[in-house]
Amino acid sequence: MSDRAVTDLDASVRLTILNGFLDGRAPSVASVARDLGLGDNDIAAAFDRLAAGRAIVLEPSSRDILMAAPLAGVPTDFSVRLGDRSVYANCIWDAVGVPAMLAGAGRPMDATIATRCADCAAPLGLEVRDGRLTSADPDAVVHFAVPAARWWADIVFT
Amino acid sequence: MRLFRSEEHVRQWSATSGIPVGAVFSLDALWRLAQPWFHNRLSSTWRRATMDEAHAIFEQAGLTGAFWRLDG
Repeated sequence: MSDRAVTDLDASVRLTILNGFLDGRAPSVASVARDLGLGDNDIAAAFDRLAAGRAIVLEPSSRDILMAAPLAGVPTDFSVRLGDRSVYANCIWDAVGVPAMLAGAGRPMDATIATRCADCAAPLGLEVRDGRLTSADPDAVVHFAVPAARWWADIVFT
Repeated sequence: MRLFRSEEHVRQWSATSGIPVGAVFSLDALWRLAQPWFHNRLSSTWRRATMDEAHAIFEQAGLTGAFWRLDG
């Protein structure tokens, strides 16, 4: 959020959202309000500020969380297994970003990423072990269709 | 931002979908991109990268050219 001040509340809300997903929950305005001991209106306003700052993406008709990068609020083609639980990511960049994020916080980062070839739908897997990313598919490549300058024009497609 | 079995599958997907091929790169480059991009995401002081910071991260991962310009 380079163009606006990040309040302490907004930072707490963002982290509560990410940790909620990592704990296998589906954070909402109500659940974050309960977790932080604050009112729904204050948390809803923080959700809106975080969305305006592109820290999260909300469903257009509600404040349900669609994305809290690198995590997804809805099932996607990018599943990231972390020990005995799994989370969803928004894209292959975000999927690999989950263990990168955990490593940055000093948490265990080993992960198994399951996705599919966007062309033929064949299952593709990535492993992060001991800080290294490997794949059983040696020819696998990453493709970004949208140039960086247009990523946010349609972030769901991107 | 998807994974494909090979570059050939990217070309097939592009031909079928009509969406032009954008940037194709390796898993090594993806890993070099993701680590600096996400390493501080669980910090209370995280903020979005500035354009210059983002460009530096792209360049460090070997991702250069007009495709990777946020001001393009």
